[in-house]
Amino acid sequence: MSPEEGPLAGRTEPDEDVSRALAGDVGAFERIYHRHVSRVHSLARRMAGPDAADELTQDIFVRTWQKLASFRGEAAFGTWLHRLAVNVIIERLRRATLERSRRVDDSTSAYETAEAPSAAPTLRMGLDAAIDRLPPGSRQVFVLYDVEGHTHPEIAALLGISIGTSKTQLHRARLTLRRLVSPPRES
Amino acid sequence: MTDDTWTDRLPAYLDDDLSPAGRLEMERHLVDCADCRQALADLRALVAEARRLPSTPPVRNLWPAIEAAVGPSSSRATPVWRRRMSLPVPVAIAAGVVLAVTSALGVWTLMYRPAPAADVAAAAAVEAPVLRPAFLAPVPYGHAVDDLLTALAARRDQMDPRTVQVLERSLTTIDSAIADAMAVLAEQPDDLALVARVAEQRRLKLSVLRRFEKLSVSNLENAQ
Repeated sequence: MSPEEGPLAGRTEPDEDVSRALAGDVGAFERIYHRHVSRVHSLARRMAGPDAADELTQDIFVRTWQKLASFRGEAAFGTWLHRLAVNVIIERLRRATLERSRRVDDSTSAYETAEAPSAAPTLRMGLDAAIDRLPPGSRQVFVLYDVEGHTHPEIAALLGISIGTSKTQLHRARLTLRRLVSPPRES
Repeated sequence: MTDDTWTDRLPAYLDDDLSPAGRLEMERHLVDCADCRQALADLRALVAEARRLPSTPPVRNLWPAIEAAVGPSSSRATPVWRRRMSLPVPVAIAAGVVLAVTSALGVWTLMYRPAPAADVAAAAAVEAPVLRPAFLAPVPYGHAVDDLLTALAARRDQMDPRTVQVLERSLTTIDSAIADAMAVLAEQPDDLALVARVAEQRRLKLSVLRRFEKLSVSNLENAQ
């Protein structure tokens, strides 16, 4: 089990590495990077898709370096980093949605469309692969709620949607995922 | 109520989001409906699996690019702005992106032509964009950039989307390096090394734009 997944994950960052990184020690920051990269990359991959995950992860860590001085130690460092990562990802997704809506005449909000995959799968799909197939809106809510453990009010604030929309998107995501990952059964 | 309607309400039931009457109705239905009981079990398993999803590291090592962006190791005595501005980080990032473009599109070389001193001084001020024909040379830096950006924007739809993506990323990186340097220059106007870095970054930007503009023209000609 990697350090990011063990019982100490997200609890106490070795104080020395954070202090050193704050003082400009890139070697200390590299240790911080290795400690958290799996969780950050997995979050980016699930929220934004595998194609964007690498670049997003790099952006998140560069932003972490730039914002280190604002870490006050009120929460665990892992928790602070996770919040920053979510904000960077959402910021990027919003920009991408804005750019797409400028180019497309029919700019329907991603949060209003949650269509199920057109063909019923015959093979059981892994959950991560199934999450990749969700539409953006329900995917983000599912990842934030069921994978990352955020509440609906938190998700609503992060994504700029209503709590009701967050719940609806979550329910749609779960039903869609169930169709993708559960084996077909005889009625 | 149809089977789908009952199934559609299961996620809300799972989260205890139904009204008391709705919950009671669902529980009565579950007693008689094996399909819905199975669906509920599937949803519970799905949520449990989601909470246990493991974190996996990226396939390739992302640290070198991050290290290039945050700068080399330095002591606390070194001011933050100088650490971030120290060569060759901004140039390395921009050059790295440009070189990535060249390897993807074929062999090409990035040639610098040192700009006249007057252009560097003129470039220090923020200029309102004014369109002028690009073939009238020499033109101030700001005008040249505006002309090239206008030309590229007009041909965007005819360009390969990947080329556009690489160009936009390159420009974002270079602009970010210029903006950072300009912010520091505002506080340290006498730092000649910084002035030289800003000029270097602007020459790089101009060079990148010229190369892509030529590419876009040649793509247009080939398509006709």
